[in-house]
Formats: sequence, C-alpha cells, structure tokens
Amino acid sequence: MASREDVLNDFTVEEEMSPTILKAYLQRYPEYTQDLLALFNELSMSDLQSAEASLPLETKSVSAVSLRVQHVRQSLFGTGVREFARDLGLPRGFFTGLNAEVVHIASMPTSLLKTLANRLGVQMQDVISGMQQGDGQAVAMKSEVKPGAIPAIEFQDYVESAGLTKEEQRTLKALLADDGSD
Amino acid sequence: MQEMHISPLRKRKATGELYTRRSPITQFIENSLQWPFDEIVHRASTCDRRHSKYVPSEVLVYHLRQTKSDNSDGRFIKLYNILRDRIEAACPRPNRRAGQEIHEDARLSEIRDATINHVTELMFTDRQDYDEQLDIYEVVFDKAVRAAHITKLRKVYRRERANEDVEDEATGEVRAVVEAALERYNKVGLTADEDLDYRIHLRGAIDSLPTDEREVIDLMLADIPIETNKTGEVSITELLGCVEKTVRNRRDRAFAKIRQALELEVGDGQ
Repeated sequence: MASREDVLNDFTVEEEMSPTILKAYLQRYPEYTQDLLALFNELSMSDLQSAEASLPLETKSVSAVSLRVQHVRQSLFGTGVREFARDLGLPRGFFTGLNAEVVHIASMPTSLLKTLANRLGVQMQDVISGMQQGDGQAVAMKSEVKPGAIPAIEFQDYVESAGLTKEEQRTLKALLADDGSD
Repeated sequence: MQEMHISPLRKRKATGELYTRRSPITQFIENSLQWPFDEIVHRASTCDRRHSKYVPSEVLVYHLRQTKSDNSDGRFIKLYNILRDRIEAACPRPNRRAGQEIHEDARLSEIRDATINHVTELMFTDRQDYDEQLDIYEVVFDKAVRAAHITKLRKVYRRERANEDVEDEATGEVRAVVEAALERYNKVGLTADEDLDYRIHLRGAIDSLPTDEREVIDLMLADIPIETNKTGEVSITELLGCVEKTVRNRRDRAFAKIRQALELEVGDGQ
C-alpha cells in the first residue's frame, strides 16, 4: 500500500490540479480523503495565485524574524555567548567563529544547525541568517590573522583547528549526533 | 555546442515512474548552463514572473544542488538566500491590513516559519547527501512549498468539527444559484481573464469555509455523488464517514456562505 507521504507527493506533482484528478486519487486512495482534500485546496490556491499578477516579494517588516536573528547573533557573537557556551559545554571562541567569514555555512552539519536552532528557540533559517550577519567584526577562533584576509574553511577543518580538549570533542560529537528535536 | 547532461531526478511515484521536470524547466536549465554563475544570481533577483529574465524557482533548486560538486560554498548560500525568500513568498501571507495598521496573524506566521525551516533543512541535508524529497521542488516549487505548508498547518490547527445542527438552511433558490456557480468553475470557453478572475474569487470563498464544509464542496466539484448504488463508485458519505443528512447540512451552510462571498443575485443567470 502506498504511504500517505508518497500519495501526497505524487498528487503535488500532477501536471494538472483539477477536480478530475482529485476524483481519480480519491477513488484510488479513499483512506487519504481528508489529506487529499486539504492539499487540493492548498494547491488550487497556489495555482491561482501564481497565475494572477506576479507576486512581488514583500519587504520584510522588522518583526519577529528580525528579533530571532538578533537573538542568534547575541548568543553566538555577543553578550550572550558566555552563557550559551557554558550551557553547551564548549568554549566561547568556538561559537564566535561560527560565522560565514570563517566557516562555510553549507559545510556545517544539519544536525548542528538544528540543535543550535532548538537551543536558541528559533528556526534553522534564523541561525543561518545570524551566521551570515555575524557580529559585524567576525573573530576567528585562536587566529591572529584578521578575518576576511583568509578564505572561509570547511567545518571539519575548523573543528580540527579549534584546539578542543578531548572532553569538548566528545561534547561536540554528542551535539552533532543530536537531531535537534524536542 | 556541447550537449550538457542534466541528471534525471531519482524520486519515484507510487507507480514506479520517475519524477520528471517539466519540459520548459528542462529547457530553461539547458539555457542557463551557458551563463556565468553571477548572471544566474543577477537574473534570480527578479521576482516578477512575467519579466523576460525571471528564473523559475525550479531552475534555481537545480543550480543549488549543483553547487555540491564545485565545492564553492559562496554559491550555495547565495542561491539559498534567494530561494529562502521565494519560499516565504509562496506561503500565504500572515499580514493583513486594517486601515493604517498591519496585523500579523501569529498562527500563520508560525506555520510560515515552520515551512521555511522544513525546506531549509531539506536543502542543507541534500547538500550533504542526496535527498529525494527535494526532487519535488525541481518539479513544482510553489506547489511543493504549499504542500509543506498545509502539512504544518494541519499540525498547528486543531480541527474543529462544525456544529451538525441545521443552521441557516439554504433555500432551493440559493442552492440552484450556487450550484450554477460551481458548475462554472469547471466550465470551459471563458476568456482567460474571466476564467482566472472567477476562479480566484470562488476558490477564495471555498478556502474561507470551515474544513468540513469545504470538503463537501470540493467533493461536489469532483463530481462525486452524495450517495451511490453503483459498484466501484465512491460517495461523499463513504469518503467522509457521515450520513447523507449531515452532508446536505454542510453543503447548505457552505452554499449560503459562498453566495454571500460572491454576492450572487438569486435569479441572476450568471
């Protein structure tokens, strides 16, 4: 029997989103009636809105999103880093280096991003935005070279050069193994 | 010109068939492979879909996934940032204007943020190891975002079943007018503008209904009978697990609301 996720995914990619297609799926998968109906409505709205006048991206208001990103920056690079680092059992300098100028963000394990998001009570995209904004004067961990003078490195290389103690390495490993869910 | 190979997607439907990109998207990708990366990013900054330089989001997802092989993180983040904004744009807007003030629906904002988070995680996970779920976003990006959105929405909202008592039962006249309106939803022969405008308003009215009433209307639109004796044919009562009277009550309440929303005149043939 096809799983709920498979059926809904297949429905999503149908060329035509019409009542005829809906009927075909309902006849084939009546056990997913309410999921299909909810999805049909959503996709119909999406189709119509796309066909309407173009959707200019709204200017983001200074709101909850900005505050969350600010919180990330405070915790990783600002006055909150001491407490945050202590709570996680890693040195402050480790976190202050977790910014786009020092480390390739895309090389960071998803589990770390999720864990940081969870610990900070924000979304993953907020952590990524915060890391891109940094603190405005990014400080590389244990580096005497001014940031920006050397290209960003992979996360793995960053960890290897971080000078973590064995206990800190174990702590980091545990953090990376955590999938960030509550 | 050397032919560029665009790897096929890997996700399969329940039928076993591979997911495939739409032809216009494949063609766009082929063309875009000739552009320098900066040109892609520059064009991607255009958000007007009607603009000649607009780059479909499906194409951007393709290029995002290609950054895996060039080991250049700057490219991934640049494309991610653009796509992140497009995910947000594809979600229903949580802000509504009331006079001079803008109110944000906290629930819709929460669902929007959860949707962005979900797709963000997918993009990052895929970068480390191919994730077939991201294939859907190369086929139908906006729809995939909306599908993720509705999943989050259904987790946040509690489904409250409407009061089953008969309320504001629609008259026979109202029923006839709204049925005609629904029939027009599926009608062909209207001009593109007429059709689109009408569909938007009708779908908006349907979308505003309580869940149980909306379900009945959409099942009617799908030409599914309330009850049936035909072997192999499903009925609304069977799909929703309720009796005929309940279905008719929900239909009549929905009709009254749709009529009000569309401001239809009883007896008007349109």
